Amino acid sequence: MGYFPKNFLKNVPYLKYLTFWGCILGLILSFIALIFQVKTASISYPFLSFTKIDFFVLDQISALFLFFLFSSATLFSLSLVGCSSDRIFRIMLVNSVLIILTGDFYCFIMLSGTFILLLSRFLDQENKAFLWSILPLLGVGSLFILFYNRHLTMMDWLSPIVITSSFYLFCISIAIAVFCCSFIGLIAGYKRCVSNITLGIREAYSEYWVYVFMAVIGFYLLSRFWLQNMAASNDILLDVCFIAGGMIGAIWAGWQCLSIQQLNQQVYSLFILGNGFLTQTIGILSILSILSKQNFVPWMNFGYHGLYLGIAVQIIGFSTAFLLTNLIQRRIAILPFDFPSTWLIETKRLFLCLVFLLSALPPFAGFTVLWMNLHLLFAFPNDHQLMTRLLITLLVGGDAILIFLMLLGWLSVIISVKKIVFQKNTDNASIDQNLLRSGLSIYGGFIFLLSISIFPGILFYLSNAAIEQGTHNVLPESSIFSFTAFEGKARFFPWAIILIYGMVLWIYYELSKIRNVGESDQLPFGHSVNPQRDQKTIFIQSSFNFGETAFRNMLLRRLSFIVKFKDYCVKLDKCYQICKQYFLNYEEFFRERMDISKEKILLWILILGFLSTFIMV
Amino acid sequence: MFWLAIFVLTLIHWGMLLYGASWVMWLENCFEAKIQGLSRPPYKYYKTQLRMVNIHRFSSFSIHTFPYKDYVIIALCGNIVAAALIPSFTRGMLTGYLSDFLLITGLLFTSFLTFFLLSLKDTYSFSRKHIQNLLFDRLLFLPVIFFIFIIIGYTTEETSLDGLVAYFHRMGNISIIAYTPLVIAACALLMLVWDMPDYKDMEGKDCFGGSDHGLMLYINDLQFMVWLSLIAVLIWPQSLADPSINGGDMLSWLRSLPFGLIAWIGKIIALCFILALFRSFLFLPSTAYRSGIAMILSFLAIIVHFSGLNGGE
Repeated sequence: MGYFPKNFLKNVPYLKYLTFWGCILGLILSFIALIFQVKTASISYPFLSFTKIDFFVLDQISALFLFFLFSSATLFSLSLVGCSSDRIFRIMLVNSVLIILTGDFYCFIMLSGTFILLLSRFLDQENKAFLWSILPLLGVGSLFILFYNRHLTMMDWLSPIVITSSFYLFCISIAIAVFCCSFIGLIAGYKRCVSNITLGIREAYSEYWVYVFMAVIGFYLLSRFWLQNMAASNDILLDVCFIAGGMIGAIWAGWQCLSIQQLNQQVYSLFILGNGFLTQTIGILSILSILSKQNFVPWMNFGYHGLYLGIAVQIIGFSTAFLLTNLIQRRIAILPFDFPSTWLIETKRLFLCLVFLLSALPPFAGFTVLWMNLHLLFAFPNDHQLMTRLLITLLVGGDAILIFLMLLGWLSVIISVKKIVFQKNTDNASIDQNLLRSGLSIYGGFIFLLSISIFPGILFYLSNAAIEQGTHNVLPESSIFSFTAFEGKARFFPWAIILIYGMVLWIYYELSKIRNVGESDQLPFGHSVNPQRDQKTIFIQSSFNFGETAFRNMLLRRLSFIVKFKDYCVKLDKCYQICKQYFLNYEEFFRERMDISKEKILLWILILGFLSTFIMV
Repeated sequence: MFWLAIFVLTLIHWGMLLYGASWVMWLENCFEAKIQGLSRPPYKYYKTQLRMVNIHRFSSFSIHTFPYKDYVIIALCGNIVAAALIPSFTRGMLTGYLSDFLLITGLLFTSFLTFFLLSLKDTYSFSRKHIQNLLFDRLLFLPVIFFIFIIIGYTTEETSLDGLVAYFHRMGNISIIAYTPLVIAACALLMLVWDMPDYKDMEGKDCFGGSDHGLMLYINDLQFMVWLSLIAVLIWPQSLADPSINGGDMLSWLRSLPFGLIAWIGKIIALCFILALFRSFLFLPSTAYRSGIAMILSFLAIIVHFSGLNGGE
């Protein structure tokens, strides 16, 4: 009826593929910018050019993070049907792209504010999401400290003259840390509100992409500002606090993963754990940049490579993990009979493959990140040998706890997947066409992860330009086929190990063809496999969640002196109550006396006051 | 010629580890029985195990006896690759560049996880609970492994075992204080190797019988072998031959090879005897005690390393 109808663009054909093709275009453009090392391109305000402010700036670091963002966005837009037609998905994607591209601080703060406002759409009030949503706002607000001094652009911040002149560097760095850690999810990890972003009620799909976009933005801001800011501030203690906070948040998230039962929350807590692990890399890199004092450091190259590899593995690996969890939840929890059983088995197998890819098992991608991170610890310059080595041992102890929790967490994820799968009867099933798309995107993520785990040099080649821009000191040591910490020291060839692995497997399977298939196996022990297995009873006893009550009982046993102290307090309180009762019996008596001799008491008080003044004099 | 010799030696080393694994386990059991006054374990048993472990039995296993072969084969491949990477009697093998301590231990750790995944497939709760406890106990050793990694890094400024041997060859005769952290770390690893043949108890229970049992025993033996040779490298790194000694002279390297072989065999036998003594006389039923002792030992190694450093510069 109206001149401008509501569903004006709804009936246009192929519009629902617009987001997907847009993501593909962005991916290709960022890839070109990385490969050909496009120089920094900036767009100033069209009619405010006299201010000389760069409105949007594309340099190599932002191109690298755009590559990560678009690669995760393509996976999501391909798989989830809702994402391609969802308005919020498009707006958030465009907003996060603009945050990465901004060159101006006003613009950045406005964009991040809109991002947080859009985010508030998903927040759940019951799980104390209020605090979680307030913290990033506080961080953004504290960035306004910068405007106290002068007007700055994002790119100006990188120049050392400006940084040293700024008086509030400590406050600014704390603000950045709070802002970025809330985006990564570490501050949410401290609380029990992992589930603050609820599943969408209106549709069957879920908003896992929010986590990934936020992590991309958080890592971008950390890699752009935290590292540069710390190099100027000369504050190692703040860096150590940052690392310790990240590790504690990660350990807390791992603990949550073992106690939570829901699959999506378990995967999200593992995501937080991985992010916290990468904060260690960032902190070590910033300490190195402080200690080197703009000198030539060969380790910086190695460290930046490890950081970018870790971010790529984290983002793309966990976007596939989120898609898999979404697939299971969407197809089983909501539509139980609309799911072929072969797909279920496929999802189980894919989860197993993800465990091998993302947890720190050699020779896959998670292990390369761990290897690079641990070798970066040897890069600490020995200004004071004992102190640095003590710090390293502490960090390694934290890493051990993290890896322990991570492995147990992934195993508990597998157990919960199996629980879900065996609960549902999936005999009557029909094929859904949307599953094919989600399967395509998941396989795409797997191919990327596998290629990274075999040849990590692909990503090194991509990130070389960004490292050049950041540090200006690059050694071409890492190639596609191998990478080393520095010359003549420890090397790592993931492809060689995979080659040996594959060779052994190939020999094994070739030899297995020689044997006849139908022949029964005559064994000295005479044991045979029981074919009938009751699968449902498997998972009753097998889970790694340490019971909350058991943990509380253990704490009560260990901290029994507190309980005893509490007992003493109770006794003291009883004594106090008895005394109070005793004195309250005489309350009425005292009140009567006071009423009668009110004037006398006043006189006595006056006399005593005068006397005291005389004595003082 | 040099490269051919290195290639042949690598193959010999690999085959030696793969074939000798069961024999070493048998030797250890013999020592244990001798100390405890029991009768020697029948060699026929091990012979049948070995026969089952041969490649044809593997193939039969893969096809029809056991439906969940992939997990076991991943564990087996991990152990075989670890056996290839670790230096036994000489350094500078073809896989010498890959002999990173973390990589080898990670490859060994895959088998625990894969056995846990395997146990999830089975019905009865006994073996699963057993393997779950085993996995949990093994994961408690992760800090020990990381600390040993750090000790190797501190002493030699790199973490590959090949580089460790080369470092001590380069240094020549140095004071004992440089060796002690590594020896203490090796003692910490002995605590891990303590209860290695745990899958022996699972015979006849929960579908872990037959050739599956044989394969699992073989994986266990191989793992035992790799751990032992890891300890052997840490205890006495200079006993290994070095091809780059005397400016890459081939003859001097070939002359030092037999001693390396003898030293390796001697170290393995001594370690077996020590383990038999431990198992006979030290009663530590729970693995938590062992993990605690290993943790303390690895930390002690770091403290000993710190005692050699000066606080000032």
